[in-house]
Amino acid sequence: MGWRNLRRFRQAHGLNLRKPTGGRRGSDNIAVGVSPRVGDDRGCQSSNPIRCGGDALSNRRRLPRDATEQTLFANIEQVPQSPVSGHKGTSVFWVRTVRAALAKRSPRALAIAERGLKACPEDRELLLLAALTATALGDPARSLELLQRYGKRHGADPSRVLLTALALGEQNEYGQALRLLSTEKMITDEAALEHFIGDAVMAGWMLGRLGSIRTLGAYAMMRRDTRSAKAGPGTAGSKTMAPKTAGPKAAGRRTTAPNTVGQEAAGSAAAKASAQRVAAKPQPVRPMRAVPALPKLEARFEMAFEIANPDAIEIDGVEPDAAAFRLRAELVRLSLFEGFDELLCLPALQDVEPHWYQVETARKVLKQYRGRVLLADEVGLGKTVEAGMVLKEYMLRGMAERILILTPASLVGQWRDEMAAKFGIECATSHDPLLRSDPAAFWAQPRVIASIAAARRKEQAELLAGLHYDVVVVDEAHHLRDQSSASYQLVNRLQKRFLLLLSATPVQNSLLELYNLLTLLQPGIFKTQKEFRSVYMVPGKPREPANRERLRDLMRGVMVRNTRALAALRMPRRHASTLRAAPDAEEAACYEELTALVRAAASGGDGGHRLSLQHLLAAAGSSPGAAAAAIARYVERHPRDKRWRDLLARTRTIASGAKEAALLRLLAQNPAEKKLVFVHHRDTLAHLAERLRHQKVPFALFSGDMSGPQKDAAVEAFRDQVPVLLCTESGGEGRNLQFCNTLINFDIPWNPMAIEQRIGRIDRIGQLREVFIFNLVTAGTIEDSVLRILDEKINMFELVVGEVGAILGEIDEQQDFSTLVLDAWLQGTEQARAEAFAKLETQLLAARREYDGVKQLDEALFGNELDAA
Amino acid sequence: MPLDDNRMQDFAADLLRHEDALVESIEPDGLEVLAPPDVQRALGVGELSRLGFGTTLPAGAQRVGLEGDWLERFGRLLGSEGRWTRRVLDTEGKAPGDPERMLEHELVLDNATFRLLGAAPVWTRYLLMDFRASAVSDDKRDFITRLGINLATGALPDAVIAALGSFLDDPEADAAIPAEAELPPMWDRGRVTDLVGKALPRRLDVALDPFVRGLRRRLVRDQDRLYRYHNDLHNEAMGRAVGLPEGDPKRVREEQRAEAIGREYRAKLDDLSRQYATRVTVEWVQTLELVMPAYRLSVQVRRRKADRTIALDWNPLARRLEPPVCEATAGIERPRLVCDDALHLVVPAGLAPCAGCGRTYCRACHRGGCPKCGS
Repeated sequence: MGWRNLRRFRQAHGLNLRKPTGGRRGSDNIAVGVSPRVGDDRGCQSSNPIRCGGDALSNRRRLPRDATEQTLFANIEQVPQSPVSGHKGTSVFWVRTVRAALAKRSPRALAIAERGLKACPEDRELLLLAALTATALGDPARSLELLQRYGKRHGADPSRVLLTALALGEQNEYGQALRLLSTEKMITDEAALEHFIGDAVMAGWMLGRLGSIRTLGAYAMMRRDTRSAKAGPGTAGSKTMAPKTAGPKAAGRRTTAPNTVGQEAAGSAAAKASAQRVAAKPQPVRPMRAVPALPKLEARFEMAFEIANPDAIEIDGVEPDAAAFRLRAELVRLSLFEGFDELLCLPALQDVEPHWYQVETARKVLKQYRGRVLLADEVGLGKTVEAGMVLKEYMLRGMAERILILTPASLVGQWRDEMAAKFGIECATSHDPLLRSDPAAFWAQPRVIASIAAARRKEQAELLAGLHYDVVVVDEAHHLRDQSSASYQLVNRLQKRFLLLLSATPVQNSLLELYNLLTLLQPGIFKTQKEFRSVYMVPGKPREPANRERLRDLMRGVMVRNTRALAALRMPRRHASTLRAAPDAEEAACYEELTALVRAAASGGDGGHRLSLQHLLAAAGSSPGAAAAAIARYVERHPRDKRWRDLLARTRTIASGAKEAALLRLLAQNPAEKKLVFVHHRDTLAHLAERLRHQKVPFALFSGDMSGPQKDAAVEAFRDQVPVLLCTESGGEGRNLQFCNTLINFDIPWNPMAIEQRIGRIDRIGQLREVFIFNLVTAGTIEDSVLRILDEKINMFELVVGEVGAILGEIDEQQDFSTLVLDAWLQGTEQARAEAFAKLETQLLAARREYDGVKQLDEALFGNELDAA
Repeated sequence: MPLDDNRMQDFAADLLRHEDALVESIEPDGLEVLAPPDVQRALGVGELSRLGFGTTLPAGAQRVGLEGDWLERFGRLLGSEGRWTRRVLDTEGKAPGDPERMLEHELVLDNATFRLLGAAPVWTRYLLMDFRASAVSDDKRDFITRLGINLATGALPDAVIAALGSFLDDPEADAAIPAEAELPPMWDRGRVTDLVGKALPRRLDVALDPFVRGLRRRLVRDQDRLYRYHNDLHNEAMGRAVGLPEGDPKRVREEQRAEAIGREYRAKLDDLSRQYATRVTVEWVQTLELVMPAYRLSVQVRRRKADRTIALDWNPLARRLEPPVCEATAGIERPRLVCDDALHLVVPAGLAPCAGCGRTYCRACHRGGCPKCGS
């Protein structure tokens, strides 16, 4: 039965089968040279496709061995599996059963075929299939015997000839096989496929064997011709260095090798022995398994060579310079020493001095984990720096070009800034309008930082699934804890070589979350979820590991968790106090008026409008000067509204706010002590600078719009000359300010993460003294309410830098915290406002409690045994 | 691979001296350099500077090491120097013992006969080209590989070149070329680069074997783990399905799940393939033209009624006969067959039947593909 007949046969039985056309996707990537295959011929002498796959000596380039392997099994699921239809005892039943067994590479396929032959001894297809099965399972002698039987009953048939040649090939009778194929004009791939009885899944194997027969057969035939020529007259007396001839064993094999298919099979003692063996010990045929196994496929192993500078090759010169030649040779030899032990990225880092455990972690990720790891350091130990170092190292070594960083939306900007400032890695971000206008062009960029929420949208996820990334980094990776979530599915589908997952709290509610994360990194590390549950989880207690040591052993292969204990980080004690300044009547009245106007405006405004209202309130919370400037800008846009014009006039009359006096009092206390004053609004900064000058308080000014040298000069002046540094939000980012231990928040950002970042400027490794934080708020303002929640309810100022983010994570994921604050503040009635803030408090308290629980769980689960040391 | 003590320092000192800088050693592990303007520009140092190479730096010294861009700076300083040189080695008239026996040992042709026509001392010329290769997968391996061509015979005598290494390391070994010596002509660049393009991948393949074996081992491990995992999932789903009656929506769902598991398995395998895909980039570094005496064997190869004379050199320093190169593949395997038309010496694959039409043809005669079907 040829290919066309086979197809007709399949169609008649409702089976869809494609003719093999070559390698699978990606199999043509080999530029020059070889395509070694996993588990290939080097250590495998078997020609059995089930055990060994393709052919060792195939030199075919159009269909590389790996592609052949893929083709071998590519359509395996299209073979009828189970239950096998047809009545038992009919040839249809047995043919389909044998095909199914062959497709599943069952070692019992031959026994099944033999059983089928007993049931239907006259069936042509079954007989050929049985012969194919015998060859494929490494019993070519039995195959030849079956083919002989076929010849006697059904006469000449091209399919039989092809199978005979394959069987002879398996017996290393390559010359004989090639002669047979040549005689029957079946030496080409196309002709062989035309007459091949096997399914598409076996076609690749057959083509591999055919390639061997062609190469080794031609070689064998040439050797034979030469021996014949040498045996003839005219050569005996010549002064010839005769090549070694084949030994008697080979000669004997040749002489006993029959000339025709029938003879060779009949003459094979091995075949007889095999037949007797089969007859004497019939293999018991157990019923097929009810549940078919998943066909096992092989991953391709591709290797491409490229000569980078062929045009540069010099073959001659004018004046030899042996010394320079030796120097160049030594230079190149030295460059070979750049193993992962020496991190190339260290000198390339800017404004960051990595800690020893971070360096060790980066090394370990590169050498041991080979770029697939969960970085689960405790909060505040600098996972971002570790990930950045790994990224930079891969880039410097030419191992990574395309990078994708997925983060919560609120951290996209922070990642972009850190990557650019500390590692010199410029990335596009999902804030770029290009994401909306031309998503394909956006994702095609080589380095992208995207919010995971944007990336997981269906249309974006589809685009991403088609791209290949060298490195994918997922920050706050505990968001991937649910296997059915869109985020998990997105990361799971991404084509990536290296994968870094970052989370300080990988397990929050159940050990299954850890299972899911680590399965992303190394699918199958914990086997199936069911098995994981039974081995590692206590029934009914999802957070309690059943086999802690074994679990840790497995985790060590994919996870690093540095702890403060390991890093020997002793953070200084921190003291925070809030100074509530009582506003004078006019300031309070203006603030109240502003609040009323904002509430009125908010009731009918759109999103953009809300943003300007938020800005107005935040400015008013900073200082009257900032409030006046913000209101003036608002009035410019709404010139007809008399209420706003009146408010502007009143606000401008306020010379100074209540907080200014409090600040001056603070600065006057212990005047020699360095004090870092954070101000968000530039108008407030200018006003305060003027005020300090007037009060003759020496200070330095540091703001985001200054040039690098100006900033350096400001920090230097603060360190060496003046006691006060007036600083905007970006102030001191990346600069060492640990010589200062007092921080004054002149205005309070609504987002606690921003407050934490300010604290992080002085409360960091290297700070030896206790840290003092003073928060200045005007009583009755929105900042006053924010601070009450953050300070009094969740004790934010006691938290380690980084923990606020961990607590706010869930809340922030749904809605920005400052938006929640504004929503609460804009409630129409006092009672509604109180209720809204109470709800926010409850939310935060719950988040804090949950975080504490998770922290304890992770500490208990991971201990100190997963560190990089 | 650890770097020997002082190796970097010695190199830097040699290089700086070569570029006319005044160099003095200072303690501990440092150099004080008085650099001319070109050196200052290339290295980014001042006129008088101190370079430190150890863990403790001399006062006022800059740290120089493998980390950072110091190798790049040194490369800048070296510029295009050291790309080519010529060495001449003398061998004091060493000659092979029994050329016929040697030939019998080195040359094995299965479909042709050959005979030694004669042997004579000659001078020959080799091009020894060094390449820096980087194999990048989820790991990286860098190494230097050397390809040598005997310009007289076209041989690629890897074993001979390796054996010459110790002689080449001796800078005092240079000799003069006798006036009467006739050197083989220099090849044109195109011929050299063609041969390099053909011969190099096969040699890189051998050099990379341990690295590739490691990759494959891990690939097989990951692949097996992947299979076990998905097979278990698949069995779970199918196990649930077979317990349900045909057409039951739950059964359909389980079967769909099993199919999805199969799809994911294939996708993960693709992912694995990409993870382990290896790109080998080779960069030519320098070429040494080596001139030295040899002993040339003239060999007649006979196939049917045609014959051809080839030359094989015996290298007196390596004391080895250089085997002929496969004219089809330029590979490492020795040619064992001779084609009918031009009597090319090829490996079996070079004379195998075409996969497209089945015609046997010589790949050295027909480099563009099968003369019958063009495939």
